[in-house]
Amino acid sequence: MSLSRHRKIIFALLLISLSGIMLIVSTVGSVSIPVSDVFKVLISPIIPSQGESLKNSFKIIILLVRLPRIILSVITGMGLAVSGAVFQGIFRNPMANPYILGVSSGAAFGVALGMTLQLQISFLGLGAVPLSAFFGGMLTALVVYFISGNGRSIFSLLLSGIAMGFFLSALMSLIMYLNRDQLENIVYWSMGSFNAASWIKILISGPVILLGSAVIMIFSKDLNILILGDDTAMSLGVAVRAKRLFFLIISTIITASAVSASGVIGFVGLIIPHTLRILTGPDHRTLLPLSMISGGIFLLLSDTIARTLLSPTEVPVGIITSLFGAPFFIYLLHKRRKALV
Amino acid sequence: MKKEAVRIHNLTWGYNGRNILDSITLTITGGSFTGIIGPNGAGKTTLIKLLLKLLSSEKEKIIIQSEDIVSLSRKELARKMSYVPQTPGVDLGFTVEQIVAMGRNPYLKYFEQESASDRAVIRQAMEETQIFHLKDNDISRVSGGELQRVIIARALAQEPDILALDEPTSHLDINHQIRILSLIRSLSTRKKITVIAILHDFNHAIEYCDNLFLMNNGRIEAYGNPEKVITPEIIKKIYNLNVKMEKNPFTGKPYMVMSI
Ligand SMILES: Nc1ncnc2c1ncn2[C@@H]1O[C@H](COP(=O)(O)OP(=O)(O)OP(=O)(O)O)[C@@H](O)[C@H]1O
Ligand SMILES: [Mg+2]
Repeated sequence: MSLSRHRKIIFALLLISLSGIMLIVSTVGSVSIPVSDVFKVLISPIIPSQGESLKNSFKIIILLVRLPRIILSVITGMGLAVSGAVFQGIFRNPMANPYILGVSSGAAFGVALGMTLQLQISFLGLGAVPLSAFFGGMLTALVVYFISGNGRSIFSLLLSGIAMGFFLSALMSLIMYLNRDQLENIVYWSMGSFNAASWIKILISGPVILLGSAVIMIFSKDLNILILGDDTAMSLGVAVRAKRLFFLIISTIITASAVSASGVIGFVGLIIPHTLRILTGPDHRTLLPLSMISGGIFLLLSDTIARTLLSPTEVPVGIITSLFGAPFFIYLLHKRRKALV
Repeated sequence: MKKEAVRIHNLTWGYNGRNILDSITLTITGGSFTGIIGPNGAGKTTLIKLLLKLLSSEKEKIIIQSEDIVSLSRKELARKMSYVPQTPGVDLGFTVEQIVAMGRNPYLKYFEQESASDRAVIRQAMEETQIFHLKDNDISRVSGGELQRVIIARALAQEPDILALDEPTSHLDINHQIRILSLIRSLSTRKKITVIAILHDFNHAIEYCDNLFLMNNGRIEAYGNPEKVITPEIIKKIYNLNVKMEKNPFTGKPYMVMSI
């Protein structure tokens, strides 16, 4: 009804801002490129005459450096925000985040192990690091699921995830301690960065994240009902165990793809869905699409700051998300509290 | 000839091996208002949860409208039966209307929005339970009694054949107790809904129920029409209370008074 039209307008506005921001941030960097030139580069594959007057270096910078990075950061932000929203819904806990089943510590452990063993594998153009991150993350979530008694209760799942996270972090510290020459690489990876963005990564994690999010959104009504607790959800016609497993699997795959493409980027998957929940309410039919686009915008802006703040040095983007995200979040909570009084 | 809504046959069931229900056999007539009474811990909630398949039982133990619940999907079940739990959980942020609208879930496909007729059902359910004026309120900020009516409205929005209520009046003031029970009673007669309600107030049970099951220690101790079940002897035996039956001057039905 009118409410859903309202949502559509907000959604459209966010989508337009996302495209606008993508265009604008592609002009900034060590070489600044005018918007008109960026635009020409973008349309040159369709209208080749537009590309003729351009400097070749501009084309290379835009097409091979900035654009992949921008797109990857948007997709990663989208994935983390959607899976964060799902985990917060499933666990009925606003403090839940995409890493709650140990995907991040599993991925980091996988990467540390891979680097130490100097693993030389590649698959679909992906190297050892993204592969060991993806499988480390997925495997950990699987183990967590089994040790929690096949997800019998969300509570045991939560605790198993936390325990497993600590265990793997300890193992990873041990590996780093025994293997100090890889220390910097491992630490740097685990703080998250898009400087290794590439079209290959986009082609692989992009479809996984976008399709996964779409599938989740198709079932967002069930997610609303799952929040009401198992008995109520079942009596309203939702097959709780199966649906919960379904959501857990899809959002874990999304999270593992995001982590595999760009390391462990914290905070996005926690604050974006939480913020939107505060602003728009808990209805996942609104919450998921809005979180998705906001997550994309947030991570894109964070990465732009990460690569320009101390240019030519880069700051790991995970530092930026928390550094800028946390104060904003506290401000929001504060404002919200005032509104309640 | 009235149809059978529920048939339970020789159901024995327990949590982790400890028997809670002991060879329960019962049938409930379609369109009737059936009450379940009994002391705390008797197994009333457990029985209702089994009936709704919230706890899993064996095959051929529980039959709903001639179908084994084991072979029905959750969605199919949710179109036949709705449930008002003893302690409904609430979640922050949903409005009253959103919660009631969830009652339409068993009828909607994924991604499908509520149609105009769904909206009408939702609205009617809110009006009948007198919560329409609260429809835009946050569910976590309504009173206990209002919440109970919201949950009843959601159960009505499910348009069930069988409505199962676990102590539906526990948080209501006396006015709303009577209103809600009368509403449920009239729905049962008007729409031929089979009502199964766990009640603690014997006088409510006598006034509203066609049939009663009295449970104790996981067994059915007595059943039949209320006058037959609620007698000083049975109450003395099960609750160890001395009671007398008087006559309610307004309705002419028996009325239980207690010596304290
Ligand atoms: N989840 C559970 N796990 C183990 N035992 C349980 C569980 N739920 C209930 N019980 C036990 O089963 C027995 C029956 O409980 P039930 O909730 O069916 O009682 P009830 O008749 O509804 O009581 P009340 O009038 O207090 O609501 C009680 O002894 C209770 O302790
Ligand atoms: Mg009970």
